[in-house]
Amino acid sequence: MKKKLIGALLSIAMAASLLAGCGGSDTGTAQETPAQEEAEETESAEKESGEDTEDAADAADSRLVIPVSATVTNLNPLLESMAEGAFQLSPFADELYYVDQEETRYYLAESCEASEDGLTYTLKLKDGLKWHDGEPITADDVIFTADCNADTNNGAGYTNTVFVGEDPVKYEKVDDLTVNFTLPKPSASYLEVLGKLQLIPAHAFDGNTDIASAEANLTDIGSGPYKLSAFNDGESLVLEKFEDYYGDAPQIGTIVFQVISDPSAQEVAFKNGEINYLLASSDATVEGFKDVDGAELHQLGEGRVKYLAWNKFCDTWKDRDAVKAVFAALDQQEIVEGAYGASMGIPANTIFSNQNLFYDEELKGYEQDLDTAKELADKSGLTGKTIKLHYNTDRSYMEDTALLIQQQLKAIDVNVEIEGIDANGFFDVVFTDKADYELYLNEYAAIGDPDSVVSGMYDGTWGVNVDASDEILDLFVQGRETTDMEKRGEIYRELQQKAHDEYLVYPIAYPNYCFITSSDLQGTEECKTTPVFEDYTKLYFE
Amino acid sequence: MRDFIVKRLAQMASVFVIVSMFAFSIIYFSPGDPLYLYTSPSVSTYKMSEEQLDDMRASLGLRGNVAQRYINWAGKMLKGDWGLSISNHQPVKKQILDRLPNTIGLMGAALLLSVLIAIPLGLLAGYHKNRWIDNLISAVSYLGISLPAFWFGIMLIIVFSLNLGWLPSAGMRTIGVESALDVIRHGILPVIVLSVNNTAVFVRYIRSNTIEQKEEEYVMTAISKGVPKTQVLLRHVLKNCLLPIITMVGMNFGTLITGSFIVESVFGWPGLGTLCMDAINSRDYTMIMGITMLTCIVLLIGNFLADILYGLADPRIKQGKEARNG
Repeated sequence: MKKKLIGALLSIAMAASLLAGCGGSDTGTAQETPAQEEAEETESAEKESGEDTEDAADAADSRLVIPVSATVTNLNPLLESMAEGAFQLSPFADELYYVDQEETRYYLAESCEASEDGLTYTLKLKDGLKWHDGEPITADDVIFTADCNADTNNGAGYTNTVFVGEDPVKYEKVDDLTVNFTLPKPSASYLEVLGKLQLIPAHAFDGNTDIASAEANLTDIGSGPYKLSAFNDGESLVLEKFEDYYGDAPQIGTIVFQVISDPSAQEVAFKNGEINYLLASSDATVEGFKDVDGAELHQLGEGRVKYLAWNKFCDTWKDRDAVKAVFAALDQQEIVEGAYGASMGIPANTIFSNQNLFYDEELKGYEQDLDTAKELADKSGLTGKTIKLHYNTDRSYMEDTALLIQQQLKAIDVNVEIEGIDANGFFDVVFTDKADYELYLNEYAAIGDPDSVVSGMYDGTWGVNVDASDEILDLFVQGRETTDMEKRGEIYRELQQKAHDEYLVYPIAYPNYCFITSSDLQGTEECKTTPVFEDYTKLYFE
Repeated sequence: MRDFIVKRLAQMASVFVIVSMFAFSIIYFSPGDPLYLYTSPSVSTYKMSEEQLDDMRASLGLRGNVAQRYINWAGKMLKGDWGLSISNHQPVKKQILDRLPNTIGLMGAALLLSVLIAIPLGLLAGYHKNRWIDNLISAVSYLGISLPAFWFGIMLIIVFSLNLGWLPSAGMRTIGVESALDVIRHGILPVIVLSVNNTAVFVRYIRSNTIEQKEEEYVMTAISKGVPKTQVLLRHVLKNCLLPIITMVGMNFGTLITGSFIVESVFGWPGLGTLCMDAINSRDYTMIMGITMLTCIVLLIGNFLADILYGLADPRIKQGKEARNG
């Protein structure tokens, strides 16, 4: 009897230990909203009124579960502009509009027109927009959002909407729905940049632009088709459909971003039916799910360029033939197949990605020619040297790429010493004027207008050690200041050719964004941009 | 006893200061700028001027050399202000305290399970030294010590979640379900994975101590008197095996805080381990320091309590200490 009692007490103690920590309360700011209860009541009323309404109720009950490596740290899209944050806040906060290669899709904005001189942009919001708390979205919110971006201490991600170069953009309210943005100098990419802006409500922050540690960042400050249901920091972000959304009504009841950081655990959870979406982290994952019943594979160009760059401050490259020797020694096809596999990337041919405007698909990339490579290596004194290559350990495929480059350069008797650096330290080491390394592998976002990160990588903003000629720099400036799209096309085609001819960098691959969804999830074909999904209202369960 | 406690508290304070200086220096001198979080082209294509960067450094407490920054941080810490996270500008203390219960719950259950399994197995193995049961328990213990947590975790998920469908594969609760049973179901697999290694280590310690105790005259006397085996083990041997168990549990107190980075990651458990990993990746020094110092405090307290419990478990030690202290 005594033993049984002790056994029972110990079992209780163990469960209590687990519960004492975890069961008592939601972490973070978990909250169930009255609106959810209201929605549930509405659902049950609908169920009683026949078959059609049963379908509607099913849709309302439906739940899309997406795994993430970590939850967002707050719900303010200005402070969560990096890929993982943008991914989770996409159904929560709408952009103004999205400039695609073929069309512009408007969300919060009704229109955005540029003046003839390309200096003034008139942004008009749609009428009747509402924040999730029911307050109207107006030009005051646009002004407030711009002010928050202009306060650089916030570290907000849309600072490029209020500065062109180092000069500030002026913005003023015209009426309740209209705001004028006046640029200090022409910037052809500004239209696209402004479109991506996600607004935040001035009233929620009491007009205070010092938003970095504001409590409002953890509240329902969204404008998108899904509003906050529960935010459990480190565990899940639960969004439910917003009934007063201005656009098409969302067809899925709840979107859940659930933390499962380990890729293997994500795969098991997908097979187990616990999640409906899986981001393929490797070619093996893609191959593993290709013929699986109930799984559908999707492949999109990610809009990034992976490249090999040489450090212009390093004496090894004083003779440009040494660079040419390296480029001629590399077998791009073998690198892409070896590092990326059949699904995760395709060979790159220019410094623009295949998702950039004005991408020149006709341009031929560098081809392997070992005889020429050996000759140039001998001539330039590269033969027999040991050179150092840095890569970013937090980026996919970089390590395998580095190893393949090391192997291929052995063919011209060049020994490559590989040194990986994590993302935080990588740019401190690489984007400097130090001459203690020769090569580095890097990547950049290259989607939409090329007058963005792409130009920054070559004009000295970021890639300070890339040897871009004055001609190339001038072409970047011309591309920025020209508003005529046809002329811009010519400029950027010339620029891509020049970069190729000058051996600026060695473009290696355009990575693919591969994801797998449960086959009952429909509407994914509408998704053409990354990070997915641009418009969650298009998704539904069959 | 009072002198002993005062002396140990003074030692703890100095260890705490040394650990804080050491941890702060490591973060300071490791490559990478915390401002990368705000200046990376992935965040914005706008490149801040040096003046703007300097303002930002000042606002985040990143200005000055290592000594200035340490003094600044330590001064605030002493006042109970753990600072704001560099990465999300939210108070560090609140974020840590939000996650702390999740980790303590998981690790506490794992530690308790380890002790509960290890005591009978260790006693049994030690009592039957070199017999088949000892060999079996030893073999299983070695396996437990060698199993990589991430592999074992995935295997358990595949078997119990994917194939049998008995338990959930990830997370701490089912979305929308608020029940204690649900949390326990989610906790079963991670607790098993976390306890396997500890159990194996505890078994080895208890086994060797049992073997030692078994050779003692008082045990021989009890056996020769015909006292039943279970009674000898539980009434006599176990009492004397408590010391190494107390030591081990005391030393494992630190893991109550740090949790297990790998297990939390595999099972999507929202504890301090994943918070710390994110902080390290983003060079969030205020968060790293907060978690490190909390771990340090708990570890020190764990060892302190172990010392006190030593005295309670074995009056000879208490008497010895008192005799030495005069």
